[in-house]
Amino acid sequence: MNTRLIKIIARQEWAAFFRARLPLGLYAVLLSMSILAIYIGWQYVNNFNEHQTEAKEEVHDHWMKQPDRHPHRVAHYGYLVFREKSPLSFFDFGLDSYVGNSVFLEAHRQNTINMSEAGFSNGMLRFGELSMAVVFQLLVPLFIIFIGFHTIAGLKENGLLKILLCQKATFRDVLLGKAAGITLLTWFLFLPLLFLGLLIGTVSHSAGLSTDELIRMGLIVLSYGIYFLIISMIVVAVSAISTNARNALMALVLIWILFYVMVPKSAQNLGNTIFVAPDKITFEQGIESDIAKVGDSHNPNDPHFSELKESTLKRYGVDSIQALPINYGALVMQEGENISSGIFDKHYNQLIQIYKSQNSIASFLSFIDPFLAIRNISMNLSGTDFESFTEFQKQTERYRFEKTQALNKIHLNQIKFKDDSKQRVNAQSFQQQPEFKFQPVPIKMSLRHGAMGISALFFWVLASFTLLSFISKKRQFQL
Amino acid sequence: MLEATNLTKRYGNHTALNQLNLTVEPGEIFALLGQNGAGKTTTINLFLGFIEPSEGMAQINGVSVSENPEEIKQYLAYIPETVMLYSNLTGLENLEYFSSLAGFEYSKTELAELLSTAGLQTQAFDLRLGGYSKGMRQKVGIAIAIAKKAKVLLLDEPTSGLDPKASNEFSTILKSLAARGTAILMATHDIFRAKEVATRIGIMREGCLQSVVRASDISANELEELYLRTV
Amino acid sequence: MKSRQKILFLECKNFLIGKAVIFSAICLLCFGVYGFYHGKTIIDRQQKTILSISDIQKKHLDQIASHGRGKPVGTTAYYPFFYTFNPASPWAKFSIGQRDINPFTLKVKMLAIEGQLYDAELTNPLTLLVGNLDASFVFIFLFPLLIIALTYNMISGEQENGVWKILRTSTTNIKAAIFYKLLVRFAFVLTMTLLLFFSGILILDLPLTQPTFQLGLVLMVYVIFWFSLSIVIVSLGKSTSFNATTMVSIWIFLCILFPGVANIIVNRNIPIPEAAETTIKQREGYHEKWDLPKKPTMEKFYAVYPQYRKYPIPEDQFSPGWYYAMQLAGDLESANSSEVLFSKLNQRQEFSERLAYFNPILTAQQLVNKVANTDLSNHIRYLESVKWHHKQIREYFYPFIFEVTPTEAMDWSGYPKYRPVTYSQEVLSSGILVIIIWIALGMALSIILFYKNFIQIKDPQNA
Repeated sequence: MNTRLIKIIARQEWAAFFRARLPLGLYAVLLSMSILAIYIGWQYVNNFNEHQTEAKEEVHDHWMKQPDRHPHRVAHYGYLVFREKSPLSFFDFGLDSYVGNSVFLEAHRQNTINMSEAGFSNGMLRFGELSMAVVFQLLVPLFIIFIGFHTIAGLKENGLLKILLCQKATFRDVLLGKAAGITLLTWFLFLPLLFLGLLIGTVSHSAGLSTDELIRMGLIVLSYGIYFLIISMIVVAVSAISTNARNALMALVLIWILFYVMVPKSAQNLGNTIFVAPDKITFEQGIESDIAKVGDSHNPNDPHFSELKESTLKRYGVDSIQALPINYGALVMQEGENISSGIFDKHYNQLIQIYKSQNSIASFLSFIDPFLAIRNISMNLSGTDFESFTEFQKQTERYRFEKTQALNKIHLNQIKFKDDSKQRVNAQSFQQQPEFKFQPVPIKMSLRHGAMGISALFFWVLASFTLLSFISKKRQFQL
Repeated sequence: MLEATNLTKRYGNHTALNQLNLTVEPGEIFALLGQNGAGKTTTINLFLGFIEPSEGMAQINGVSVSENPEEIKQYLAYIPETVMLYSNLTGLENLEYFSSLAGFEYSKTELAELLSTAGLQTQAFDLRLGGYSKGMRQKVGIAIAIAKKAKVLLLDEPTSGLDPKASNEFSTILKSLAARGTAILMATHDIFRAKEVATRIGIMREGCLQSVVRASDISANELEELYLRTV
Repeated sequence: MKSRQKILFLECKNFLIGKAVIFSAICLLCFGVYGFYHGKTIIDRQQKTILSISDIQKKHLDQIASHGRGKPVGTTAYYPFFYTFNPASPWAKFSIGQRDINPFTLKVKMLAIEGQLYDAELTNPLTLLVGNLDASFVFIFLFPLLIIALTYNMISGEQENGVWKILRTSTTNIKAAIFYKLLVRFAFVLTMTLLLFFSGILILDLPLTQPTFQLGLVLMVYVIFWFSLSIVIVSLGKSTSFNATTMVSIWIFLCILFPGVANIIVNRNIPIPEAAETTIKQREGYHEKWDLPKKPTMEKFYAVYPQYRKYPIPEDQFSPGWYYAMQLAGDLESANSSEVLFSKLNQRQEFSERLAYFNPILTAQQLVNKVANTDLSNHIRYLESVKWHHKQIREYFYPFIFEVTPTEAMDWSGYPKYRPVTYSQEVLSSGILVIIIWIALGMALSIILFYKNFIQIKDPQNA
C-alpha cells in the first residue's frame, strides 16, 4: 500500500468530477431536491405541531373550564392527547405518517391512537415520501453509482488500467485510491449540506439547541458518512470486477433496485407472514376473555369481587357497604381498572413483541442490505422510529391510568355512596392534575434500539474493505 | 461498378477527403493504403451512404449513393474491422437472418454451401458465433456478402488481428469472389497483404489519393518504399 | 412471406437466448407468484376475521342481555357494541391498496358516532411504511423494470459491438429490421403480462366478470405505456449507458419522486384540520349537555324524532332518553366538521386523480385500486355505511328506551342487520384515456425519432 499513490489517484477522481458536466448537473438536481425536501419537511412539521398545540390547548382549556362535576363523569369526559412530531422529524419522516396523531383517554377503555396521515391519504403516500433522509438514503447512492460506475471498468476498457499498473501503483492502491476519492467527494458534497440542513431546521423551529439534539445530529451525520463510504466501496468493487463500464452500470443499477426496493419489501412482508400479529378484534377478544377469567365487576356473584367486598368490610369493621367511610363503588371501579389495565398492558406488550419480531427480519437483513441499516438508524436518531411510537402509546396509557386513578380517588373519598350519581365535586380538585408531556426516547435508548443497524454498518465497512482487498489480489480482474 | 467523382468530405475546417476520383471495376480488388486519418474509412463510409459527401458523388452500379441510399444497398456488402454478429445465434442462423433481411431465401443446404464457399469448416456451422475466432466470423461476413449476391464488397481493415494462415485464407477467398465479378474496395494497413491480393493499390495521405499502382507492376519492396515516400 | 417468418423466428431466438432476458423474466414471475401469495394471505386473514364477527356479535349480545336482566333497556343499551365490516372484493387480493391502513372492521355503540368512526386498526407501522409486495406492486413497479431491461440496449448494443453496420448494409429496408426487433420485444412483454395476469386469475380465483377484464385492460395499457416510453429513449439513438441511466432515472422520477412531491402538494392544498376538530366538538357537544338544562337538548332530539315528545323527561334526574339525546346532540354539533372532513377526503381523491394525469404510474395505481375497491373512496363509503348502521341501531333501540322496556323483554337479535358496502363498479375510462394519450404521444415521438436517428441517418457516429 502506497499512501502517496492512493492520494494521487483520489485527487484525480476529484478533478475528474469537477471537470465533467453531467455529474455536476446531477449534483445540482440532488442539491435542489435536498433543499426542497428539507424546506417542505420543516414547514410541514412546524404546521403540524402548531395545529397539534392549538388542539392541545383547546382541550386543556375545556378541561380547566369544566364546572363542578361528578368525578366519574370527568373520567368519561376524558382527555385528548395530541402527538407532536419530534424535533428532527423534518429530516426523516420515518413512521410518522403511518401512526395515529391523537388518542382519546377515558376510564375503562384503552383507545387506539387514531387519525394517522396515511388513513386520510388515497394511496399516493404509499409510493414513498420525499424527505431529506429519502434523498440521502436512496438518491445519493444512485449519484455515487452514476459518478463511479466507470471508475475502474472504464480504465480497463481503454487500457489505462494496464498503464497505471505498469507505474508504481498496485491494483490495491488503485482500488483504494478510487474508493477514497469517491468517498471524500461525496462527503464533501453532501455531509456539510446535511449538517447545515439539520442545524438550521432545528434552530429555526425551537428556541435553542439542546445537547441531546446536537448529539443526535452529529450521529446522523456520522452514520450517513459511514453509509456513503460503504456505498462508494461497493461501487468501486463492482466496477473493478466488471469487464466494461456498461456491465458495471447494469450490475450497480440492479443492486440498487435490490437494496432499495426488493429486499426491504420482501423482508417486511416475510416478517409479517412468519410472525402473525392479531388484528384488532382478536386482540380485544383476548383481553376480554382474560378479564372475564380474573373477575367481572358487573356480576354480583363474581368470586373475585365478593372477596374484595368481604375483605373491605373486614378492614373497616362494618357489615354493609353503605356503612363504609369510603365509596365502595369507586373502589370496585378502581379494582376493575387495575385488572383491565394490567391485562391490557400484558397483551399490548405481547403485540409489540410480535411487531418487533416482524421488524427484526429487516434488522437482521441489514447485514445483507446496508440501506436497511441506515434507514433504521436514521429513524432511531430522528425520533420517528417504531420505539418512539410505542413509547408514546405506553406513556399515554400510563397517563390515562394515573388520571383515572386520581379521579377514582376523588370519587372514593369525596362522593358518598348514597345517591352517588347526584353529587358533584369542586372543579378545582381535578384541575390540579398534571398535563401530559411526552418524554422522548433518550438517546442512549435510541442507540440501543439502533444497535443492530450500527453493527451492520461497521460490518459493511469491514466487509467491503475486505472485498476490495480480495479483488485486488485477483489477477483476472486486472485485465 | 464503384465510382467516386470529386468526392469530398469536410468536417468544419478539416477536410477528411479531398477530391477523390476512383473507379473499381467488376472483378477488381482495390486496396486503399494510408496512415490513420488519411481518409480510407471516410471513403468507405461515403460509399456505404453512412455519411453525406460535402462535394462530388459516390456511385455504385451507376446509382448515386446520396440520392438513392436505399437502392444501392442491394448491390453492396460490407465487412467492418471487427465482425460482431449475433453471438447467441449459430453461424448458419446468422447467415440465414441477414440473407433473409436482404430478401433472399435459401434452404439449409444452400446456406451450408455458402458458408463452405466462404471457407468456414463444416463443424462450425451449428456452433454459436460466440465461440468463433475473428477469422471464422469474417468468413460468415463473406458468406453474407456472397448470399446477397453483392456486386460490391467494402472491407475495412479486414486482415488486422488475423494470424498469417487465416489472413492467407482470407486473401484466397477474396480473390475467388473477385473472380466471380465482384468489385472489392478494401482499406488496409497491411502493405504486403495488399500487394498479394489487390489488383490495384491506392495510397492516401491527408484526404488525397496520392498515387495508384497496379499490383502486378510493382514488387512488395518497391510498394513499401513508395508508401513510405508518400506518407 | 417466408423470409419474414425466418427473420422473425431468428430475431426471437436471438432475443430469447439472452441470459438477461430469461433471468429477468424468471425473477419477475417469481415475484409475481409471491405477490399473489402475499395478497391472498393478507386478504384471506381479513376475510377470516370478518367471518368470525357474527359469532362474536351474537355471544356479545347474549352476554349483555343476560347481565342486563332486570334492568331497563335504557341502562343495558349503553354496553353493546355492534360490529361492522368492510368485505374485501375479490380483486383486493390483487391490489391490497389502503386496506391494510384503514380498519376493515369497526364496532360502534349507541353513543355519539363521531368518536367511534376513526378508530384505527392495529398494525405494525413499519409494515405499512414499507408497503405490500402484492400483484399490483409487481405490475406497477417491477414490470417497467423488465421492459427497461429488454429494450435499453436493443439497438445501441448492436451499434456498440458493430453488428448494426452489417445490418444496415444488409438490408434495403432498415425500417423492417427495427420493426421486427420491436415486435419481438413487444410480443414478449405482452406474453409476460398475460401469463402473469392469467396465473393471477387462477391463483387468486378472480371471477371472470367485468372488473377482471377492466383490470386486465388497465395493466395492458399500462405495460404498453412503458414500452412506448422505453422506445422513445431507444429512438434517441444514444449509447447503452445513456439509455440505461435515462430509463432508470425516469422510473425513479415517476415511481418515487413525483408521487412524493404530489403527495405534499395534495396535503398542502387540502389540509384536514377537521380531523381533530370533529373529535373535540363531538366530545364538548355531548359533555356540556350534562351541565345544561335538559329541555334544549331534548328539543334538538325532538327536531329529528318528534314521535318521542310524548314521553316525559324529568328535569331533576337522570333518564336514559335524555342520555341518548345528549349523545345525538354531540353528533349533530360536530356534523358540520364531519361533513367537511368527508368532502375534503373526496377533494383529496379528486385532486390526486388530476395530478395523476401527468404520471401514468399514479393513474394506473389509482385505477387498479378502484377496480379492487381498496382506495380511499371505498373507505369513505364504508364509514358512511357504518354511520347508517349506527343510525339504524339507535332508531331500533329508541322505542324500547323511551318505553322503559325491561332488558329481557326486548328482542336482542331483531336489530337491523348491518348492510356492508357492496362492490362499486367504477368508471375507469378517463384514466385509461389519459394513459392512451401518453402512449400515442410516445409512439408518435418515437416514430419521428426513429426516422431521424436510424432510418434517414447521416451521422457517422451512429453509422
